[in-house]
Amino acid sequence: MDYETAFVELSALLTGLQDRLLNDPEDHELNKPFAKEYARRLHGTFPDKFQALLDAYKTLAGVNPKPAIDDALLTKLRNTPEFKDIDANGVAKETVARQIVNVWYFSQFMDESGESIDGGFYESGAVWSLIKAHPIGFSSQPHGYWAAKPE
Amino acid sequence: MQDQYDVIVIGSGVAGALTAWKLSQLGDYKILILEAGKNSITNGQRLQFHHTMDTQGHRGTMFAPYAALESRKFAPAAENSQRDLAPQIADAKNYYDYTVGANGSKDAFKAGYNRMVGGSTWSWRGNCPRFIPSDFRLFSEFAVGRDWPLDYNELEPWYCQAEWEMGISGNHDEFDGLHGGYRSEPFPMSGIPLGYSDNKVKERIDGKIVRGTRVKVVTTPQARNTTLFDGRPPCEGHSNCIPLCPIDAKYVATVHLRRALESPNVELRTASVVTRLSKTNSGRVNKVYFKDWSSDNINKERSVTGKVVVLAAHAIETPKILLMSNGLANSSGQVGRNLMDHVQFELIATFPEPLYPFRGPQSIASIEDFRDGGFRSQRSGFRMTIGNDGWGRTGSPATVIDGLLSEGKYGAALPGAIADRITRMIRLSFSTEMLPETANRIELSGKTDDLGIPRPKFTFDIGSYAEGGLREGFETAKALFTKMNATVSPKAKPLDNPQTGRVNWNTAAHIMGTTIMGDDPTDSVVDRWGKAHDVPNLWIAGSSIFTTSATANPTLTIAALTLRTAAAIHRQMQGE
Repeated sequence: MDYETAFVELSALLTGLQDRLLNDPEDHELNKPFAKEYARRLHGTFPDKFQALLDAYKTLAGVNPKPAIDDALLTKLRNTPEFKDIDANGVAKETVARQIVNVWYFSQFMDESGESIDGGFYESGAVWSLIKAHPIGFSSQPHGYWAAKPE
Repeated sequence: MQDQYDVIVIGSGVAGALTAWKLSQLGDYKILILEAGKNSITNGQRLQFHHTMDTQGHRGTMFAPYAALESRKFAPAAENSQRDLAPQIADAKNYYDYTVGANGSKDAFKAGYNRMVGGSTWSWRGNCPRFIPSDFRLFSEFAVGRDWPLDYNELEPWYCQAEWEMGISGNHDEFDGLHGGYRSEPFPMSGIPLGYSDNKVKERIDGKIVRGTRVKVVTTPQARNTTLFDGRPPCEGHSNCIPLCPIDAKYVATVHLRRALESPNVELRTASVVTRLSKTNSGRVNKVYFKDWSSDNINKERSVTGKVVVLAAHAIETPKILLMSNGLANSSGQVGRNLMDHVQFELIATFPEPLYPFRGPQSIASIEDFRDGGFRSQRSGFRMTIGNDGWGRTGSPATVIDGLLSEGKYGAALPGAIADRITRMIRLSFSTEMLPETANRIELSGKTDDLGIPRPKFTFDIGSYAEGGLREGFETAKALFTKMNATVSPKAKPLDNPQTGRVNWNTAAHIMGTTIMGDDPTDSVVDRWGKAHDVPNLWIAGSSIFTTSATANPTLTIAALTLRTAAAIHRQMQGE
């Protein structure tokens, strides 16, 4: 399984954005450039931990027959040390897993110090259509639209 | 560049911009605006500011769009002031210094401001309620605080002018007569349409009695267009009000700066940080000294002379300049004292059905009913706003998602959980009034900034009057959420802070009182027109002259007072 395919599948598994990232062929193609850039930025921020989580996913998803990308696979992934990323106090920080979720929903994520890192595609964050709003700062609707219930 | 002017205006925020513009209209005055910041005021600059936020991750903080400005180094502001006292004192890089020890500061001063061309209106929300009549007569009516040397009736026509100059949208019937405050003119534009969320909230609480008061949900008067006004478009609901409206639907002082600069008699000098004023033997201010941080010699003190000087550098830098000026205008000892902010707090909850926040302005609706009453003899009133921005400062959509992940909701469960939780986020905020207390003050710190200019040193205690208002506001918010069948979130911050022994509170960043207005020169800095008691040609514009803080956002009152002061300056100059 190549690097980019693994990241897209891992992202879909963690975020629940299966349709956007995998099932819908058009959305899948449209999100490929985002995936490439998000992987690059995440890998740059978490050089070892990101690769480790990706490798853990590849190990689980690389068996024959290939497992479905579903909650059963997610449960297995969540039991791996690479997912849990347990710190010196025994707390599971889930560092990279959480930031993969953040980058897809907000096109922003945080490094381990809590510093915000730009994902590069702010307007494409998945959260906004989910809550029937728009990226903050980027409304494309006319004056007064907010008075009506969103469809 | 010439060095002699009729009027020197120090500061280019709303007070400075309106002063310069109004005087340029009234007479043929040579006007210099000295501004510590350095940024453009074009549409291109606005777009650049907007895109600065895209890469930052923090889109909601007041300084986010301006992070790349060089002026941050030479005209610093307290960008991280929304912290408690201990971390601020521990931070060696903090612009704010504090008195410590038994008589030292009890609370942090959390309010920040912009030192930019256009001032703090680059970062404001745009809410523009007026003061109410009793706000001007706090002592006469409630035996606390002070009385202003003018009343609501005297300021009312100036409120109308300010509303037309800034472009205020509002509903006349909702505010005409509010707590006795009549309106002699309609708003220039009708009010911002209430959001779907506001109407859902209104359905459940409007007209109900809450803690003895009947509640009415109204549309906040705002400096936000509802039609094309003054060449600026109507609001498109970008939900980015603080810190920046991407399309200029929200008034920024740059509107009046651009107008003022259309006159060949008005000059703006940026990167100019005023260090002191000097006066002649006759007691008139004559020279304004400043450092130009864009020059080859940033530490050289330069000077310009003016027949009249107007200090409009906001309520920390204005008194600081006077304190650096060898006792100028301070025979009363009140310069830097009576420091006030609007101490506020918010309660967050989950509404019983989706509200769909983050659509439209960050806050549209308010409840004005708790601003006045006999209780003001004991505790502050408060003004409530209904948020359209989820959990406001307490929690963002990212906070919600983080919480869901902590519950283990990765994967297929996540999108539905996000859609359910975020769409039902709501906050109620309440903003209280501080009394003018002489012990609350700024002085000059021994620590300096990069230009060798003293930083401000604070002694600040929010006081029991405001704390009483916070407590009543908190209980009122809880009662309102109960009426709505909304569930207060477990993530809501408590009011009491066991670690500090103080109450938790947020700043509204409304800094007031530090060159207080009054009739008595022994306990005030400026007279009823804004002229320094001690210095016949020195005037002060801005919230530093406020006698009381009231519960209304200050900018509209700043604008009204400034227009009135400009007219007084003109009368003085015509009479000389």
